[in-house]
Amino acid sequence: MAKQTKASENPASTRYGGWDFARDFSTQFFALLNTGRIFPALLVLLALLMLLFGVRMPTEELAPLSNHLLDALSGWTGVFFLLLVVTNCGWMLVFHERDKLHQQEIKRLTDIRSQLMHGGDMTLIKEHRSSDGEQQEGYLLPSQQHSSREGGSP
Amino acid sequence: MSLLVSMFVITTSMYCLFLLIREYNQLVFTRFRYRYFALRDELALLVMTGHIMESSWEYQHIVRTINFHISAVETMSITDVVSLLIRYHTSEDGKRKVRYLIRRVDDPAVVSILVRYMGVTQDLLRRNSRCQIVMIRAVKRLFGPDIRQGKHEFVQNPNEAINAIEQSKSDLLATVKNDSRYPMAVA
Repeated sequence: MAKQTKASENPASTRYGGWDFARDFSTQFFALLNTGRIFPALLVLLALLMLLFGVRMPTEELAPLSNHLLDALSGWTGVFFLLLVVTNCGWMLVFHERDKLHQQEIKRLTDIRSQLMHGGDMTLIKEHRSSDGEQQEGYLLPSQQHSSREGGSP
Repeated sequence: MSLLVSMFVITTSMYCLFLLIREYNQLVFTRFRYRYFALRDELALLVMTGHIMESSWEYQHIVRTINFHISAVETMSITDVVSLLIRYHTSEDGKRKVRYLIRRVDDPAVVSILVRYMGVTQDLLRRNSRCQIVMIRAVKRLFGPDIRQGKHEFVQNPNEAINAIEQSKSDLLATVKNDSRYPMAVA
């Protein structure tokens, strides 16, 4: 009850406006770029550009613009357009490969789990040895042990 | 307008290319990391099944070495990993430890893990220093194989580390040459 009263006193704080949308959109868009998800980011960008051209431009100016774009595609910029398409297809392949790799690792760990569950009499290991800096050669490595790279050591 | 569009397309395509290369390299490193994880887990299972003692020097040394390689792959850039592994595998201390390990290890299952670990490391070095290897080979062809004698080392030669690992692998395999259990351990 108290919360409702507080919200009704200041309606601007609960309204989701255009600026909020712009902020969230840019945050998510840069998150896509920063995490390497360029393919969806590119799609979003292209859709946005097409929407902008379709909605904001006068109809009589759309035809010259299309001609401009076609000219650009037939010239040396076309090579970069092609590169854009190729890199995005490459990204899809990398994404697929990464997914396959993770699935294989999950399967391997599942097999080990089954082996441990049904393996019978086994000696337990007393000390856990991970790659988090306990090795003698650790002095050769940089100090940032917990990098942001996905799939860190177990 | 067309200039702006061209600049946008060029910048975006170059950025996409950069991201793609970065993603691909991460994928390659993840693949190597998982291969090391698998070897370490296999070794741990050998301890659990009683093939090797947890307190033994060889187990502790092998786990430490594999962990060291995992850490390197996790935390460092490609250039640094290659440089570090070349130094590690060509150092006198490293060679001495491998010789000692070869004398002590006689279980074919452990030998199999060690041989595969060495294979993964060779693959890692080869994959990430192809250009370096090709350039060094080209320079040696041009100026002769003795170009480095009596001079400072400008570029580390990954081939030296790869050959050292290959030598260790051969020495290790020689210890189980007549052991009928070895092919079983590999399978």
